[in-house]
Amino acid sequence: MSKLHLVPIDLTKTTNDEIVITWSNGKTLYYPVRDLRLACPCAECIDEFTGEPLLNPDSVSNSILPKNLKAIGRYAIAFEFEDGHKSGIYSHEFLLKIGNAVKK
Amino acid sequence: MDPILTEALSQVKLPLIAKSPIELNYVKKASLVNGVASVSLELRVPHTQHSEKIKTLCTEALKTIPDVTEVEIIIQNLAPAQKSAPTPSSSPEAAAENEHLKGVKHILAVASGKGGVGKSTVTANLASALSLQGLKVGVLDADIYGPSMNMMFNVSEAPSVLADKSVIPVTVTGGIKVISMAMFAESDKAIIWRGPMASSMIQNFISRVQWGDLDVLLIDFPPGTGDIQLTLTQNCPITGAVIVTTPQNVSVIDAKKGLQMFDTVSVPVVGVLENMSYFLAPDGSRHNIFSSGGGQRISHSLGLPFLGEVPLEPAVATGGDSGVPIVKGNPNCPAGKKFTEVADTVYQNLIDLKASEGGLGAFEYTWNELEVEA
Repeated sequence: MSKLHLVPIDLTKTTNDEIVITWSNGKTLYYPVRDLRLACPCAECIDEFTGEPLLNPDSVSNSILPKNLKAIGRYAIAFEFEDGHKSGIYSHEFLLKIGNAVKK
Repeated sequence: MDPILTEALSQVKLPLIAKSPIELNYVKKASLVNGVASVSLELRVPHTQHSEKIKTLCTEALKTIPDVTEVEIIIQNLAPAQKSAPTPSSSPEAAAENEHLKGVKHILAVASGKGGVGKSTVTANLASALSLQGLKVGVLDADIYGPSMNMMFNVSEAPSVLADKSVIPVTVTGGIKVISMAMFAESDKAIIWRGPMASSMIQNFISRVQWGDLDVLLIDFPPGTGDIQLTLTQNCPITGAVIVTTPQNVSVIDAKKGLQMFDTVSVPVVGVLENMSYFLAPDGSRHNIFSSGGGQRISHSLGLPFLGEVPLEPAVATGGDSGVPIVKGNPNCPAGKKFTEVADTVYQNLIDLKASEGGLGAFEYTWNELEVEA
């Protein structure tokens, strides 16, 4: 239960508008904003019971950017996107899973 | 504004948000004189970085008008938020969120899975013990449906609500600042609310109560693992949690669920406290009324510190009912001593946790103020 929980120690963006998170284990992961929006784990985007994706990828602009990035408690980050979507809570665990090791 | 021009511009779909510059109220001037269409646009985020593309799109649209021979477009970007400026947010309330928690050094959650294990008694006593050590202490009674802090601290007054809707907590003896649902409701009336109402009340408690500078803010969690608990863990930067249980299995099983909840939201548990561990009879003999060792077992099996066993003593209940927690009214009785000891350990653990925290903490950035990778 008292497993080591990784937390973000730095949050920046690239000149290419990718989100960059450096984690407490020293690893840096890159998050292209559109991929992040498409991966939104909220109940509007993923069916809660079947896990079926509900978000049509074509409806998400290629150049979408976040408006706001905010810590949720000690375990997650919420992103508010330009399309007005803000209900996704991305747990650190989930973010560690979906990040890219290199920039696009 | 020339209606022919605005009509043409209303057909333009901007990038990112599929709306026209008219809908977004970007067009500040549009006139047509001798075939020259002059348009001035005032762009806001997110379009400020796409002004060239927008210029092209608008020019093309205007050129489709037969009368137009030439197009002049002036684009002005509305200044993005300054880095040092207060974070603009979707709603003013969200921006103020956590503002009043800035002066709070440590937030301690006091929780249990099961009800009736003495969580509120533990909260009141830990708060009193910490304040007797000279610390500045606050108590947030988050048990919306069954608030008890008014009785525990003998509060009869209502907190003052200021013009900006912020709330000044009630200060009780020992300088402890207390806020409780009981202060906003008639004492003998039940709160019969659905989850969303309770959650938004909790959010008000978090964002509107002016705690000022505190060393420790204790939050008396309602029993269980539901809406209110989740709202609290998502909206407060909780330093650590104490799990209260009684020795018998039915309570231990629920305590384990409480532990899992904190684990899911990454709130470290500073330890497990076993309440009502045994009855100390007036002749000094010890009776294990609710069996024994439950708290120890759960601590060991999950690798968490065991904070101790608090005996069941009539004086503890009397203290709670009369508004004088036992650590204050009778500090030398076994339960009083134990609470004082546990408060010391918990506070030390909170300091250690805070020191090892690292990370960004409770951040909020707008995209514009986010720095570019070095």
